[in-house]
This record gives sequence, structure tokens and C-alpha cells, in this order.
Amino acid sequence: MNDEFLREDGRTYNTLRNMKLEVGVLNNADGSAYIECGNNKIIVGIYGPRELYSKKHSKPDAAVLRCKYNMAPFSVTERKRPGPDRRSTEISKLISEAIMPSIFLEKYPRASIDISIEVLEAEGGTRCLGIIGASLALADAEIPMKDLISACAVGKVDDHIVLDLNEKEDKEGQADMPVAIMPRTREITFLQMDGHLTGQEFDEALQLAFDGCEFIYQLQQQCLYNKYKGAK
Amino acid sequence: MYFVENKEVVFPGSLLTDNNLKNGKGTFKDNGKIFSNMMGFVYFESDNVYVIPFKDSYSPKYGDLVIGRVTNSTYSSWSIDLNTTYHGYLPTSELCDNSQQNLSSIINVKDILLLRVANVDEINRIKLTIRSHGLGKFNQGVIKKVKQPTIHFLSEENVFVISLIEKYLHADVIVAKNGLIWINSTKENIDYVIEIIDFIDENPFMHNLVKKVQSIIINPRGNLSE
Repeated sequence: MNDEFLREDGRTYNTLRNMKLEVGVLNNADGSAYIECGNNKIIVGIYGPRELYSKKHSKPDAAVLRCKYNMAPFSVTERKRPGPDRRSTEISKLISEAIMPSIFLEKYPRASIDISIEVLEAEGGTRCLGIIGASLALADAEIPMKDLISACAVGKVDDHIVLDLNEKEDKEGQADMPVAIMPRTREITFLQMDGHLTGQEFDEALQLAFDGCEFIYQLQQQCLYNKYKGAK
Repeated sequence: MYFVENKEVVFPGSLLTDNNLKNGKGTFKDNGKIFSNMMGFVYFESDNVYVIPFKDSYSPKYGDLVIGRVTNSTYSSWSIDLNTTYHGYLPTSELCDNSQQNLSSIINVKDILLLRVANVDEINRIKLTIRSHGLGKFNQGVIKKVKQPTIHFLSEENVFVISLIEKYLHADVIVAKNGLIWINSTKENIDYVIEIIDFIDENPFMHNLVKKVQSIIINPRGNLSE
């Protein structure tokens, strides 16, 4: 049943949007990544690890991970008011929490690692792409990590479980569930859900998300490898 | 069992081996297996394994010669920017020998100093020392920033390159481990030394780099581009 279902943009239930990953796009940042997925365009920069002078915010035994997610005013069809708002503050917090388990923060006491994620164009799924990009940029900055983190969204559209929702499916669908995992150990670092799914549908959706994440993981490794080939 | 070959490119989280080896730089142990924690080349040795990343940032070790800029002075110490993640500190006691002179007249903010790492503790506080032969403040010369492979090339394998530069171009050169090189000579020679260092910096892994560098030092104004 699921196999014959075609979505509005012509994808089947388990197809991702076209994805393009690139690292080392910024010269002034210690590490950077650029992602295109469908009509999403996201750029991520990493600064640090660098010493944090504010004693109030620094930890004596580990580094602090600070994340800033920001949408450009021109990223959506109606102009977005620039500056932080409730949504971007929330996404900043959850992206930093999704990435934290993978980094060896204890190697850099008293330091901070700053991630800034700029969304140039948004079409649904920016938080997952933000996580993918931040993980790639951290690898580019050569910060010690347990694993790359890969993420993707699953959801329920017209009673079908589908992978990688776009903006329309996100708004009109019955459920939306972004998931981030560490593919090596298959640990889930981040999971959100809104809408309604039965227990069985949830299991099915989670399995689909794992498959999607593992595919993205291959893309991430390929992207890092291409950078090395360019360097040679 | 080895899951990757020696000198292969690995990614964060790549499984390297489940042999009982010592895990060196760039690796971590999980459930008795050794994984890589950054992207780079893996090197297997008889009893340990390590990963060398492409950029390879500098981390200070006891006894390293470093060049730093004074960024702040307090009652008890100077804070020094070492071109690394962490700032170093130079205690004022290093200079209070016998005379009660005004310390700010000796070392000031923005001064460039040649120092040695005295101690790095477990939370990466870098204690520096100036009490050793040849250490102190730079009053002239030029500082050039280079990448870590260049430092490795100039300070470990081919130290004679520096003596060649000093001999043929009448320049004084100090290579500090933290990626800074101090050069002093006439204006013309400084420019040429910088040109040579730039050349090394761009192709640190080039085949026969030593011979190439030797020839351009001995025949000044030779063609770098050839």
C-alpha cells in the first residue's frame, strides 16, 4: 500500500529531497558547512574551542556549547522580522542538546564552542538540517567527536508514514516527528513529535527515520571525504 | 583485527581496531574497541594507534618554545595570547629578581615575547617562563604566522633549512612551536624569507620539498614558481 503512494511533489514514502552537502565554505570560521535540501539553504559556522572569559558561564571541567539558530528575513515567503524570537530560541536550545552527546566537551575545560546556524531559505525541516550541518561543521573544525550526528523528519500524510516532510506536508499532515541519531551506536539524541500516531505507526515511523538517517550519514561521510580529495 | 588500513582516511566514529592497543591522539575506546574521534589519517604502530587530523592545531607541551603577545597585565601575572585555544600566563615572580623597579616598564601590553612553556596542568592552564637563556622581548623583526605542518617541517626533520636561511640570507630566524616564526634582517631579505616560508606553507607535503627549498635559498631570486 505504502509503495504505490505518491506524494504531492512526486516522491515515494521513503525518498529524501535532493541533498547537497559541502564543508569548509567559510574562511574566517574554524569550521563550516553548507547544506541544500529541496529548497532549504543553510549555512553553519563553528568558532572555537576558545577560552571563555565569563566565569559565570564557563565550566571549570568542560567546554560550553553555545548554539544560535537564526532565520534570514528573506528565508520565508512573507518577510520574517529579523532577530531572535521564541521559535529560534527554542530551536537553538534543542540543536545544542541534540549535538552535545557526541562531543568530547571534557577535553576543553573553561572553553566555549560556538555554533551559528543561518537559514537562508526555509522549506520545512530546517531543524534537522541544522543538526546535520552543525555536526559536519564540527567535524570540519576537527573537534573530537564520538560520531557524526544525522537527523531527519518522518511524519504522517494522508494516512501514510512518509520520510522528510516539506513545508506543505508539515503544515497539512497529521503528524511530524524529527529524529536525530548517532548512527554508530544507534542512540537517539533528539526526538520530537506533534500530531497523532498509534503505537504501531510510531514504531514504523521510527524505523523509517533510522533508515533515512543512515543514508544521510553516508552522504555526510562522502562530503567530508570529498573535502580531503580536494585538499590533495 | 584491523578494520581500516594504515594511513587510510577515517571519520569521527570510524571503527579502527579491536586489538588491545594503546589509544593515542585522536582516538577513543568504547567497549574494548578503538574508534577515531576526528577526521584524518590513521597510523598504526606496534603498540598504539593515533589519528593525525588535516589541520592539526597546536596544543602546548612542557618545554616548547613559543612566541606570544601580552594581552593583559594583572597584579600577579601577565596574560599572553599564544595563537592557541587557551591563553598562557606569565607570573610576575618570573621577573622580581632583586631590583624593585617598575614592572610595567619591562613588559607591557602588546609586547611580543619569546617564552618557554613551564607547565600545563589538567585544566589546560599554561604557565610560561622567561627565565632561560635567549628568552625575552622582541624589539625588532617580523612575525609570520604559518600552519602546523610547516612548523613540523622546519623544526623537526629539517632544522638545517633554518641555518641555511641564516647563513645565505643573513637573517635571524626563530621557529616557535605555536605556529609563529620570527624573522629579522634587512627589509629585502625579510621579504625573501617570507616568500620562502609561504612556499613551504602552501606545499608542506610536496615531494622533494627539502631540495627545492635548498636550491631557492642558495640561488636567491630563483624562480619559486618553477
